[in-house]
Amino acid sequence: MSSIRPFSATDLFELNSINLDPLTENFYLYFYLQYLSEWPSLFYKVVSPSNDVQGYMLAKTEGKGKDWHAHISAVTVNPNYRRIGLASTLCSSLERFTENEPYEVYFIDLFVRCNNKLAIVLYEKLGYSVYRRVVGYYGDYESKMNRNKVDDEIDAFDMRKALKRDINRESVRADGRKYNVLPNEIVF
Amino acid sequence: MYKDSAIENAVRAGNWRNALSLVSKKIKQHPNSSYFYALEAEILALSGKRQEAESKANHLLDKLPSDPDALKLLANVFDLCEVQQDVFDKVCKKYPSVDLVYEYFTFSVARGDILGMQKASMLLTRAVATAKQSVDTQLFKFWAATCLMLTCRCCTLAASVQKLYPQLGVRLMEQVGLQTAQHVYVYVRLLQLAGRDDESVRFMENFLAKENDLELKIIYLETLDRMNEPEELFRACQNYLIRLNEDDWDTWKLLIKAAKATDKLDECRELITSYSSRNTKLAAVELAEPCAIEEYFHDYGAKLCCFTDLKPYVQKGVFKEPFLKNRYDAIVSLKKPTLEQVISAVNIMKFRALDARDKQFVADCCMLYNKTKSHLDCLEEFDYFPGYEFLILAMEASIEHSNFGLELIYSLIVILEEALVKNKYEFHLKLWLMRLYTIANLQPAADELYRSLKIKFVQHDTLSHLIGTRRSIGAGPLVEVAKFYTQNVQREIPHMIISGFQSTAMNKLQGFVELYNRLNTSFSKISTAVELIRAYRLKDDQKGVEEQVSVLRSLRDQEISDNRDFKTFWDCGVHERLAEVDSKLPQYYTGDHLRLLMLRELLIYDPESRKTNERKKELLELYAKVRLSEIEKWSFSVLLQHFENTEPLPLPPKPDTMLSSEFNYYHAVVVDTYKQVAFLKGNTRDLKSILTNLRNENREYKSMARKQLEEVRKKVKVSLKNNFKELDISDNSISTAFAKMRQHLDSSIAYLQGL
Repeated sequence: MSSIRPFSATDLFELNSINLDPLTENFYLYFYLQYLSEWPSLFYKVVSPSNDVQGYMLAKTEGKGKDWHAHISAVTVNPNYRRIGLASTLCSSLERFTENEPYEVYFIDLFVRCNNKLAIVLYEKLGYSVYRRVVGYYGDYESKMNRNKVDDEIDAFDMRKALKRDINRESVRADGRKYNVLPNEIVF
Repeated sequence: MYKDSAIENAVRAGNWRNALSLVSKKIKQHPNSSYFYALEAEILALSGKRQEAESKANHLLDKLPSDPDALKLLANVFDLCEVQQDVFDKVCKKYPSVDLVYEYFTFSVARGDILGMQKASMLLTRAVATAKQSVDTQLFKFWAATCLMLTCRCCTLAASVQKLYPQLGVRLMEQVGLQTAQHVYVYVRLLQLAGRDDESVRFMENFLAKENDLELKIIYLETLDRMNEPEELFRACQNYLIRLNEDDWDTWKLLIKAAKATDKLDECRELITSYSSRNTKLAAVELAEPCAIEEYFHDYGAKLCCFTDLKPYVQKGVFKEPFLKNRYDAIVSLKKPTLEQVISAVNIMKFRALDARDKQFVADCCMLYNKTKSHLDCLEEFDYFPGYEFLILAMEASIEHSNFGLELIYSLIVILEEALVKNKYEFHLKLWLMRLYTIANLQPAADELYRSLKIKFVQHDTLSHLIGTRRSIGAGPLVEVAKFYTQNVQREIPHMIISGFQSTAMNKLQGFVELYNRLNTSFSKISTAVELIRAYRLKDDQKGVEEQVSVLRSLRDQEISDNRDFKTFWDCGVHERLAEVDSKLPQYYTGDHLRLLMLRELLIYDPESRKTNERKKELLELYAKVRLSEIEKWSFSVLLQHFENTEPLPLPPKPDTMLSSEFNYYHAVVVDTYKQVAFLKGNTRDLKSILTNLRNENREYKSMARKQLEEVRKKVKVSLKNNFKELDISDNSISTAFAKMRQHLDSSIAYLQGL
């Protein structure tokens, strides 16, 4: 059984079953607290009845005009609670929280490593599509210089899902995989 | 830190005379600057001249200086002199300028002092009302109302204050307005503190109709439940579950509760069956519907959540139920079960472990691990093999039914080492292995694993006990642990609390302050300081010792927040701490034990404290109460000989095996006791002769340790063949594991020889 609850700063004491996972990053305290402080309703967790944290979502809003959107910074699930739809629950909750007041964003986006096929399939099932490839996003300085030098290991797909405010679906495109950008070209 | 770098350098070097001379020159140059007078008082306090420091600080405070830096120094002087004095409050009442009161607020935040924040925020509302500069007066009223709410929720207050503050807060919020979810949150909390639940519900209802705020939704449903309004609760839950499609367990549970109270169970059942999710399958179990457990297992038996989901609902003996027994028999009969079948088998064995963990159980776990381990060869990078749980279950059962001797400890190390070769990201295996290493005098191997888990920041606070209890080999990763408190906690959190106020994330502030205070009074912070003091003292690093003593001295109250995470360690197998197993393992420090160690250090290094007599009394009480090892008892008795002139206990005999960490610990404690008494300039004659004897013997330690390890290796080989036959561990694996262990044991012994 799983319930969605707001994340509290003291939950940071309870994340070991999730954050000992090698793919989940442990951030500085200020990073978590900044999200709680700036976007208090977009940092939430899924818990068991005994309050064990099964997963959490860390998201923010950014952009101007039609680029006003929610960005998923981290979504992660305890290994014991994987493959039961918790990541989907966390993502669909974000849609509910951001497509209406007070945020009313046009779309949600996230970055995923191009070779992370499992995650890409999951996001596609949830209605996300590739908007563009961010060349060298996870790489070193050199790799961020040439937009034609693609490498699935270090490139990210910027995946998006248009929400109801984007009536004409201008924030997404069908052939996004053909568009390459460099990390410094992403400015909101 | 200070406004003058030359003075700062002198203070850092502990050159008090030079620092005082430099500061008196500054006083002559700036006779009207309160800052340097305050600095003089601080240097006096740091140098141990506390009476003089206190008198100068009081003299200065009587003049009500308004320089915030001087006030911060004065506050520290009073802390060092162990005197309660709210310097900002005193001065701000006389000079309530916006800037000074804001400094009072940030100062209170930096101390995690909610009462100070409350006083300062109320003063701020008055200061901004009369200020000439343009300030957002509504914002500061919002801060003040929030601080009133926090004070009522987090502090112990007199009944009259507890009654007055919420009313005051409600009035402030009514002036501020209720535009956002954060405004409504603070208002609702204050209304409820004032006993006005009815009104709070109405406000939440109205607000939630236009904005679906998660925090308010939860408070709303909880309030309806608390007010015993089942009709209303049923309707609200139905709205969230059906209209808003929020498949949330808490809401399902409240729906069931409301349905039972309103005779709407049929309607509730209909809702449950109209939905198909894990939560609704479990809601059927919660309602005790016929075959609900079986149906849940049918759908989720091959998911790792199955056991923890069903555990609250199953009875002992469930393993014998046909739907589990038949599935188990079918899987066992397969040559190569699929990954889904492996997970099913893991779940089934967990149910079986609730009944009896006997020898046959161990054999079956080992058989299943061996049968399924071929999946280890097809793991994706960073993926886990769920069959590791068979090993955890077998290991726990083996410990439960043994005397937990060296043979078993080293056998389990070999098993876990081998399991980690291909399942290298599974952290429960690593946590268990770390525990075994620290028991087996292989602390360097435990330190290595701790680092391999990339433990950092707040994880140090929750996990460092794994490598930081009764260390008898250098400081190791504890240096990074200590830095977390001075560098991350102190620098990051106060700043973010202020940021939370500025961005009006009011519903998060209680968590921020609690996080800060729990880290400041953290068990691991204190135990790390205590362990480091010993490690530095053993190496005659007095500067290192003093740094850690200042950590202990800075603790203002007695409360210790135990944030250690024992849960993750036991969050496998049957997902609970097994007393039968845990009792066989050496115990971590208890709160009393830690306090005893802390008091010892403060008595040694802080003799000028006005709390010294109180500390001695408490130490004696705890010494009589805490269960100490023989060598620790002896050590305290020697120290008490110095303080109380009592007869010390005779030195207990050395542990006979070097393959247990008790061996290193024994030596470290003896040497450390000598160093404590030497620092206190006590009589060290008897201790010196004990040390000479130990040092004469330790030349042979390395070869003796290797010999003992070789003997254990032979026994382990036999034990693995007899007790864990089904795992089929090769001789080569055993040799590889022991070769590694030899290196780590050599390091442990080498440290000891260097003492």
